Amino acid sequence: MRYFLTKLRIEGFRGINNDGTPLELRFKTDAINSVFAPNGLGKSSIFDALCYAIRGGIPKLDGLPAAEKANDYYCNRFHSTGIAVIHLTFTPDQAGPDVVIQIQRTRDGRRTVTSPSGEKDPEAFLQTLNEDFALLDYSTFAHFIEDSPLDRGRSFSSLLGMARLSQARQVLKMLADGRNLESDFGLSSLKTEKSLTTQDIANALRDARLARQKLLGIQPTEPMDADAVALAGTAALTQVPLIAPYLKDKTLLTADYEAIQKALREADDSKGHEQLATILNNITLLESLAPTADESKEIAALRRHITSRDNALAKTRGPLTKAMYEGVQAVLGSDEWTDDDRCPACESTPSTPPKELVAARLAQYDEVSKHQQEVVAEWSAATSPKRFTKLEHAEPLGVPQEERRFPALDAQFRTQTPTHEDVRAFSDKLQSLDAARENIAKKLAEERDRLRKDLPASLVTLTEQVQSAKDLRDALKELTSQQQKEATLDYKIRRRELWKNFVDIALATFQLADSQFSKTRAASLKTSYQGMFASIVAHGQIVPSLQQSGTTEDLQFRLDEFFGKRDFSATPLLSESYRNAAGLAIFLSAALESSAAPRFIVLDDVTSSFDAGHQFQLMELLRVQVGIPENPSGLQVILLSHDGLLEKYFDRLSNTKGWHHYKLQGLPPTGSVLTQAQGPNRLRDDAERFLKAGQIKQGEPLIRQYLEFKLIQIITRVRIPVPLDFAIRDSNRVVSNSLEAIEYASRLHEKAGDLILDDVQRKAINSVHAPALLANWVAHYETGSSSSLASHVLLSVLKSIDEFADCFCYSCSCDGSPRRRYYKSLSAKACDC
Amino acid sequence: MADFEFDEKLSPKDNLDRFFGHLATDYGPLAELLRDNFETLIQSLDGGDRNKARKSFHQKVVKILDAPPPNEKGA
Repeated sequence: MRYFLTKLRIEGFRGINNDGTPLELRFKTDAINSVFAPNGLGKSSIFDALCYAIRGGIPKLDGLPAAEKANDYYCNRFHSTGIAVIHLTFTPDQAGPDVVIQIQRTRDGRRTVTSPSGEKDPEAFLQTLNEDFALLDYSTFAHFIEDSPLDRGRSFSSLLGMARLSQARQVLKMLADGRNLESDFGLSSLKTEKSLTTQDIANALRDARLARQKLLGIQPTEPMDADAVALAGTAALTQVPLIAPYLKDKTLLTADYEAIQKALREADDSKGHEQLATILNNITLLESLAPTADESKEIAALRRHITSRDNALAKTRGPLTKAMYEGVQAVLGSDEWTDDDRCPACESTPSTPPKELVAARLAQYDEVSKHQQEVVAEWSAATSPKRFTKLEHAEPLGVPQEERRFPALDAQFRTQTPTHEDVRAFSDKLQSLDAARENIAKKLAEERDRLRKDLPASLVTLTEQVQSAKDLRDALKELTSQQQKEATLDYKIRRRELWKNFVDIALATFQLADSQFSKTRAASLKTSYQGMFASIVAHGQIVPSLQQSGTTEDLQFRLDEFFGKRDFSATPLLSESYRNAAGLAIFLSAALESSAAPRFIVLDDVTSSFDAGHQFQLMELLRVQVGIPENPSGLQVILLSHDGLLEKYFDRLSNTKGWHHYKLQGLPPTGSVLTQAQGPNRLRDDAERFLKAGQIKQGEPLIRQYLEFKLIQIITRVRIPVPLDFAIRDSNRVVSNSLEAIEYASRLHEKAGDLILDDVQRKAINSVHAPALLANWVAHYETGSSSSLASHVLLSVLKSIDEFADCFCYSCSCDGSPRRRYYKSLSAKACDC
Repeated sequence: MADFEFDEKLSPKDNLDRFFGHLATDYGPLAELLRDNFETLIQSLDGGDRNKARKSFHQKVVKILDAPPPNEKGA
């Protein structure tokens, strides 16, 4: 079901005060509807009211900086209650009841939507009408043309009713962004952790092989089968009578080595055995701290990343300048700065747009940050720092707490800005620790050999066997633990990569389908908008075209033809009016193509950049191709305009079938805005009511509207000729211009001897009413001093208006009952009475 | 993955449903997870905190990914 907009009632919204007398506009479904109002008479408030009702906001207010308090400007500030009410009636284009929706907004911004006609979810109903083409103003299609290709592409999707697909694409891009996945999933941390675990496995394997060699005599190069080694080790220990009892129902992995060592001590009352055990333990520890990887490569990598970082840093201008660029970027991205070509810091207009310039400068700082992160990553993944700290903590080396360098170095590499000097200090200290380790290991080996000679051979062998078994147990346990950890990390990494692969494929699939879809939709509109553009500019030498770039959302605005030449960028070649004509043609063709809920299009001042010729071409396009009734499958067109030239066009068509015209009058924002069709009696009655109650301020604007209405009525009904520029003269002088036209025409007919007015009427006009109106009212309000008039004077003005109008009427009894009727002209009656 | 095309006759919403159905043929539970959270993510684009919405969604994803499933393939 599609809907026409058939009635709009507004009170207390924006410039429309209308306290107690809402502005009411009725729109025909089988005609072009035009609403004309000179500047400042509430036309834009009508468009704003529709925007607020259907879209929930007014873009030009919502786009204001927070400090401007846009919310304070929705409700009329002169309305007695401060509550804005918008009443909309929608009529279905097929059989069905009207849908009436009322939108209310309070001064504190509360929006209430109800449906007097009983629509179940009125807000949802309004949302179905929220299509981009339904409410179209100049800035919408002008922005469409001026926007970046990406924003234009998104606007186009939205215009074609595919905003949801565009949003879906944005969500998928956000999810597939590698940086987002990296930060949210911590993938690099997991990979670093896995790399460290792999190193720990290598260390545990090396230790296990050494212990296996000592216990079982198997060469370290032989493959390691943990289960088989545990079995063989258990068997070897079981062969030793002193140990065998301790292995009952136990294995190498579960044996109680403290109990075994205690048994050994008890078997030998000298201290030599215990000393040997300690030495063996320390030797094992120092062997495990020998380098396992080529640490010189790690040191070289650290130096390389630091050099890259320093080179990147040399291209920047220091942290203060960085802060300045960030500040400029923040200003450029905010609502406070609207001139994209001017730099907010120096007020100059560089050849490169400030946004690009600042982005390029900040990218240099990003490069520094990237290399610094590489330093941290290298430090975190390297084995040498871990060995460094283990060496400092190793008991045999005896490094005192206060001499340990690792905490300071680690902090320097992880959180500060490490230098080549720091790398050198780290490397030198590591070498020194290593030298100490080798030296002490050598001394321990000598001590072990001495004890071997002093102690009984069987006890030495036994002690070494138990120590090797214990070392083997520790290494195998460590190996198993690290292998499990590696498997868990590996699983997590694979799962995250599976997700990454999934979202990558989802995005690629979507982008391909979406771009193909957009191309098809754009192609289907192409003939239509190119034809409309040719109609507006009245020639076919320029052919605009929207072109999609690959699978991106970018939409280029090009010219297929330009006076016989082909394929140019449109923006630099076309004048503002031609660019706007192209934008408008695209929106109108999309509106015609659409089958969405709104079957109406409201156009607000869309001719702003057009000259009279192009305005006429556009009106004809709307009348013949877009609007009902000339195009039966077209749209209900509602035009809002302040253009004096167009008013002539509207006036000419307003009496024809297929065109319905309104003119707004009034004194917004303090007084009321009313249409001529809203009835002069109501204007008069309201004015009288206010004046009798002494409310001059409220009554005055209504007198003016009433007088203007009556004078225009006389001119129209009695067919009094007016000057060519009558409609576009100063709107404040409508009354004196009208009186002048009536006076000249009366004088002309009087001199020609065919003036139909009787003597009483002629005398009343010339001697009483015209002077009274001019003296009591026109001279005051046209000079802005009417507020000095008292209410009884203004009531007499009302009376004069009626009596003045009656001077152009005669008594008619054609339909049986006597009535006052306007003359047909100043020289003839409308009937034979 | 097989080719996928949007259908001009369908609404954007129906086309999105078809898209998720297409993804589900190869990535069943992952496609369902994405589909079930998609509306929240779309709403975060306008006015909402999209970073917060994305992080919150990714936390859900991680929780589900790290739970050992009975059959790892496609899940």
